[in-house]
Amino acid sequence: MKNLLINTVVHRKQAIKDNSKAVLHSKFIGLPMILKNRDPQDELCCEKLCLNGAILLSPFRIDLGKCSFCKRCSIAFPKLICFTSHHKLSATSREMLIIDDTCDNESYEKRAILPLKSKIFKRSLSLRSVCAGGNGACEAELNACFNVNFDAGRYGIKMVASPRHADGIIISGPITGNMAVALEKAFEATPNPKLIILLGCDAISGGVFANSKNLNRSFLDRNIPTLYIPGAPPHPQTIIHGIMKMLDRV
Amino acid sequence: MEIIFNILSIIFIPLIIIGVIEKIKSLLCGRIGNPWYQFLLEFIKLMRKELIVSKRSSFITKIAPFSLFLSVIIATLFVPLINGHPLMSFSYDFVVFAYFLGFSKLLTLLLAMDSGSSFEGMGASREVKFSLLMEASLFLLFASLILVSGQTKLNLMVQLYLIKSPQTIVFALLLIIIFFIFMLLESSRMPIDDPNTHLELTMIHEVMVLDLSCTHLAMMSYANSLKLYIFMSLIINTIIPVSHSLFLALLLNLVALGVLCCIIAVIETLYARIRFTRLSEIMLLTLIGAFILLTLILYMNGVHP
Amino acid sequence: MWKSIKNCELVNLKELEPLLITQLREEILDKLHSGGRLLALFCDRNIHFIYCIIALDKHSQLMMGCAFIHGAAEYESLTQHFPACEMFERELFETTHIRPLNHPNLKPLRNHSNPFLFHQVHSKEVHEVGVGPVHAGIIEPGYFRFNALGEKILHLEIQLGYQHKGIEKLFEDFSKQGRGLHLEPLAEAIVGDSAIAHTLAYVHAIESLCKLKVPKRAQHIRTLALELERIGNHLGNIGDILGDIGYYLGKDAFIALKTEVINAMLKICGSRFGISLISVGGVNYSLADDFVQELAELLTRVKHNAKVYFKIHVTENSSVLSRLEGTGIVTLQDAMNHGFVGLTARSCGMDLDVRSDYPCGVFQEYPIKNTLFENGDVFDRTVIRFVEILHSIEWIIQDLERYTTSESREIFLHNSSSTHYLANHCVVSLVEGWRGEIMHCVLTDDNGHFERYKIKDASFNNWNALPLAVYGEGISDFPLCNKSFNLSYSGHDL
Repeated sequence: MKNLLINTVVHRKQAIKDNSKAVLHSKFIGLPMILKNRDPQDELCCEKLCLNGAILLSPFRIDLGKCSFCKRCSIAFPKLICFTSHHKLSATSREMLIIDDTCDNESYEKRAILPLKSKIFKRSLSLRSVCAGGNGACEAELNACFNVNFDAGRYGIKMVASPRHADGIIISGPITGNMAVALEKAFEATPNPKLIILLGCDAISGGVFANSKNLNRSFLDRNIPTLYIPGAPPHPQTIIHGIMKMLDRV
Repeated sequence: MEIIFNILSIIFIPLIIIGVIEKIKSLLCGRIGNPWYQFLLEFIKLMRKELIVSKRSSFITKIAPFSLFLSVIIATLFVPLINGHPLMSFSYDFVVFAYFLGFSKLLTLLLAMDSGSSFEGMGASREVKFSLLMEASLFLLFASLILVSGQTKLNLMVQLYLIKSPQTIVFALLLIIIFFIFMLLESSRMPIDDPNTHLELTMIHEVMVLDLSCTHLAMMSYANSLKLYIFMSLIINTIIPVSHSLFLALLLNLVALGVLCCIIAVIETLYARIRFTRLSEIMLLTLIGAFILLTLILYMNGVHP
Repeated sequence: MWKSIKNCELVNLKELEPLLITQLREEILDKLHSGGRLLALFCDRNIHFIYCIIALDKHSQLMMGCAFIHGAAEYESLTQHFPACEMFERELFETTHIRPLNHPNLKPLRNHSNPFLFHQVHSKEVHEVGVGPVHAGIIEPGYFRFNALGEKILHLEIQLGYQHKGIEKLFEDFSKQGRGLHLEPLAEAIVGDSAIAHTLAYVHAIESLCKLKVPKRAQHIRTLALELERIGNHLGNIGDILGDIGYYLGKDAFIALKTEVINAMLKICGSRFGISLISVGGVNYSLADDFVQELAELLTRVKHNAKVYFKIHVTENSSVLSRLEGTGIVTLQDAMNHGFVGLTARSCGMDLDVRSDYPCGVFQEYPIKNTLFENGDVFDRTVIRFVEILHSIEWIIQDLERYTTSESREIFLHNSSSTHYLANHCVVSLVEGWRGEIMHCVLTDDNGHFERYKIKDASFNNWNALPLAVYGEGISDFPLCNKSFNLSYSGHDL
């Protein structure tokens, strides 16, 4: 009984009361902000610096779907880009992930996610996780969403053991050639209506592995994802907020 | 009036108790956890989804879920729910009760093997192994109940609160304990089986529903929950007396259900899952316990008529 | 001629005299017989040479040799004498197509173009179960094929390679584009939970090649981050092991502690996994004095809580102990024969730890305590994690005092961006990640680009421990054994 009391008392303090109001530590590498009055020479060097090709030129933009939030562009060119600690990064369309210098935290948050029209999953969403080449970090953060701290289970979101029980698949990793068939089968076995959620920049664009010859991303040509969660890996609050906003619960 | 409450309890309580147990477990672990009506919400969502059936499965997959749901409902007709009165009762009705539960189990096994998956075959063989041992215990328990109470109808057999003599009260307690273990096995609760596990190699009951979707899954989950409710109801009716006031009976019943849910949740939280190869030891222990109990009761009856 | 080198020491490739394959093989066997351990066996991109690195742990020396391929089609395998060479020879065969004769298990490692022929037991009573590649939980993919007699496992075969992304080739391609000095994001992406360890291996290699001397403060921060990563992962693993036996009370307790530790990492560099902390030449973030105080207090609290939780939830909990003790035993003899490293090896009684055997950076002056257990069961693998947590926390707290009293405040070498690295050289960089030994070996070509970038994670050596641990166990104990090793699929498949 002593164990129960210790646990319950100590950890209730850890549980975040309301995830939608959570604010992360100021050092968190969140939404980048493109600063004004940029030097074109700096822009060219910055574009060459990014391994993932997340920096786009003319005009200068950042593609969050390719960005691994390593912050090295901002460290090398602090007058071009500055990273805020805003963690609400998810979007429901690929185009929304490309930000320019007119974008700030509030405007991004307002436009990035269009809630689902169908309300069938609003109170109960079961997801099947398919790791298709992920390195384990996105999976660890997805697991962390259901721990005592973040407790996504209280919103009715849960991970299930079989695609037949699921309402959608959540894909992490750049989709290697060896996993392409397994991913396809898992998606086929999911009953309609279903969602596809892409977790992490590797899943959204291939990330730093985009030029690898061992990938097979044709699945995403045939199926349009419902939600994109950028990050490498995305913070559990980003994941939870993205899913909740998509379900129109915040 | 009572019949209406009974029917309402068959419909709604199974949708709530799983959620309540999970909520209490979450609170004990220090998290906020699912809302207590989450199972109901999932049930509603599942009914709105598309059915996916494997190409290799036969007609059994189409008819089994609904048939086993129906068998569990028929078994429930004989169980005393609110205020100790079942919807139907006649002499030796516990045999019908046990065998309809057994029939639902047979349909579950056929359904599991129909999908052709190796896991589900493994789950089915584990289920059969444990059922073999537990069914024998169940009938020994029923025999003990008949001897102790002198009744042959299920709802009257379980009224152990009517017993006056102290020795038989001890037997009654032991009966309740064995029944409790039986309930934990039948509804796949800890420490026998982890209902929340994602490890398919360790599952017993959960693995058999891995290939089901939408209405089939909803019906199977509901049937499993109803089985839990049946056993909880039987245990509650051993202690709570029949009363004249329906309102009082309802209140006592709900409170007792709540207490039982708490006990199950606490046991599930405090213990790790028993090593699989030792589960049959527990089953055997239960069987031997039931046998010894029956022998003692027979002896007592023989010495003190 | 073999060259004797130390961890992060440069080798001039022109000084390596290539042998014939048969000669190399004889010399490798000699060294393995005298107590050496095979660390790497790979070929260059053009498939002209085979390189071999052997570790002599007790002497803190690495021996490097090479051989001409010259169109050779086969050679007598090493695995028939030393099972520890199995994975290395399979990998070499897949890349060079030079067949190792009499190799007992020559199956594809990462290539799925042909069907994998699983071992089958032809009996009416033995059934086969295949798990994967997509697993029911949130975990990386891999395929496990069991031959089971009822509940007892007779044989387990693992097929990996589902995560293969061609990381080594990516390192080489990026380097040819002139970006070889800025590949930290790629190193961080090799294995997600060992981002710090792999990045350290990469930057140590590059700093050797560029002859850069990293400021002392930066070295302290790097080692601190490595140990924080170790603590966080070990806490999480203990929680996961308890979760896999259905004991969620214990799991939630340990996962809560892990969250505190990785949130501390977030406060240092903005990422829970240490992304963006380390760069070639130093680190990107410093530790403020008040943060150092906060970190020391946090770790003291974590240490106290970890001790309390471990006592309540593991050592004094009989239902947990009955699951953990005696399950999934790996004997010392097996560990030595199959060349296991890191946590797995230390839990069986093999004293291998890169931090003491090949110390680099701050560990040279301030060593950390070693751990060693002997039973090799799941319980030992759990306790060893707990003890390593305590040692790491003690070491960090002492190091934080050294950090605050260190003279220079420099954390980065600012002229590193204009440095080139040496052509035709090779360096081997070893780091002790939380699973075990990580090796990055870089060979540069005439233009100073990476001719070959070879990575070996601890998981590459240790995947063979899992089939050995589960022989004769019940099939439902397999997930527990798997979680007690917690190997990286991505680290193996690269």
